[in-house]
Amino acid sequence: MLNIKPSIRLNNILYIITLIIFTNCVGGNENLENKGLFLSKIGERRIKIDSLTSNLPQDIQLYEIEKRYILALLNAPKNEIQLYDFQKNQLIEKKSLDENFFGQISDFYIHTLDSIFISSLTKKSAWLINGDNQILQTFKLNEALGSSLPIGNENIVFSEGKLIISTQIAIFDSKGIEEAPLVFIFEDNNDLINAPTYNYLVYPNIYQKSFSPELGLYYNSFDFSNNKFYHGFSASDWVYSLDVKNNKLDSIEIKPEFNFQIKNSTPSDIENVNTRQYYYYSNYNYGYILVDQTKRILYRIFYFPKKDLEKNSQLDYEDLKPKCILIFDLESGKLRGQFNLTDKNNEGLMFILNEKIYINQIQNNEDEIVFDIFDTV
Amino acid sequence: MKMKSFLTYLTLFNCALFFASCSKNNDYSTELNHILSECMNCPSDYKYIMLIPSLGCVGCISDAETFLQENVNNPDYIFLLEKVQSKKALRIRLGFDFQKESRIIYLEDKIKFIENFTFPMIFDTKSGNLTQFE
Repeated sequence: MLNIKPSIRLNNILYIITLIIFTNCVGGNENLENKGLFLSKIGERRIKIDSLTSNLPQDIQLYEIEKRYILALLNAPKNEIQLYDFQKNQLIEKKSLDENFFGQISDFYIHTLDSIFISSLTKKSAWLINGDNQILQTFKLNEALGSSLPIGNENIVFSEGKLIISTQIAIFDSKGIEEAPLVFIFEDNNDLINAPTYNYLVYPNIYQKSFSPELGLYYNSFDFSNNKFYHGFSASDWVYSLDVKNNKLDSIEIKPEFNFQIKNSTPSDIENVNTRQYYYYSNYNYGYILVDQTKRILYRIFYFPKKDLEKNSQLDYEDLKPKCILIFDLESGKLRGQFNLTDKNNEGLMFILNEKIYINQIQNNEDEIVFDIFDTV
Repeated sequence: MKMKSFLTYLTLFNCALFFASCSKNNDYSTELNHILSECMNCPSDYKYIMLIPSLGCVGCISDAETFLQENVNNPDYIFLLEKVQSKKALRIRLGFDFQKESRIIYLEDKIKFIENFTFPMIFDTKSGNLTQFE
């Protein structure tokens, strides 16, 4: 018996190793394959910009206001919001916002051309301004616990009489992150007074032990048809939906259909910039999300580890991780597709128009902003 | 307050790494001399070389860019900028075409001879010291 047991163990171990190698080989090919629904490119849209406008705006949004489609972009170097008539491809207006007063603008929401909400992470404030840039109302976020992260994606929307600001504020202690109040809601009773309610969303368990800034980001998208705020964390398979009307939090698992694991960070993973970058580039993670309200589809970006990565190699912003877009049907609650994007697709700037998804195209001409238009088929 | 402690920790850690690597000052001199020797139109009367990263401490880089704006004609300085993601965005931020300025050297590559180059640095040509810009 004593002689047999080790050989059984050895056989088992060999079997497991073989299985792992086989799974990795097969899985590696399957992972990057398109599955189910895919994005079919049906056109391009080019927007001419002037010499004072960055071709990589910090944010871009499309609105239907007074029967016109208004494309709004945040030109960060000038701290201004630019409004374009999307059909005529014409600049309508530049709204310059004094950085000394407003700080760096993080996000904006255009309710009407005379009622624009803007927010600033650096000032921990939001404002309602009119068409002449006059401040109509100020909203303070600094009464909330915690401090703003220097990173993060802020989102401000106005829906059914409520001003909703989703931002990334976290509380740190020796154990890591305890709790994060992420969504501020200013109710419309008393005419949007400066007393928000806070919705404390707990970070998923993966963040409890440690925290890497690159994988600590979360992404969001607002569904106006259902008044729901969707949040997806970079290191978590789950997307959280906050029903603003009923103040109800729910969650949906939106992940690719193959086995993978997002590794939690250790202190050595994040001790300096190089090891932090290596940790990020050698890991899976999630990115931006976007809801198509008409099709009831939630798009979610998923990143694969970068191949052939050497631990000591210096990485650049031009080094991109392979990525795909997950196509999730909110009605059936099922993943309908996984489609690979290329390095030319800038997933940080996307919007939906007439059930088509517009994704910013990375290209060399600095005097225009280009979008690839895709249909889901 | 807790976040400040966390950031302070990170900053101190990065500073510690930086100062630990400062023992290689001679290497920096060699690298910087090599870069400057290839710049035919650069003035030679400078005392300090300011190195500005394209990524890293956002506030520090912003402060360094403000300093560059104010000192672009200061004969004491030469500015070394590493490759940025968007030259146009940098031009807009600075308010002038940095590639036409004689005291600015724009590298079409990342600065790799400084480990963890995420903070702007000042190199003192007299003492040979490389210190973090504050």
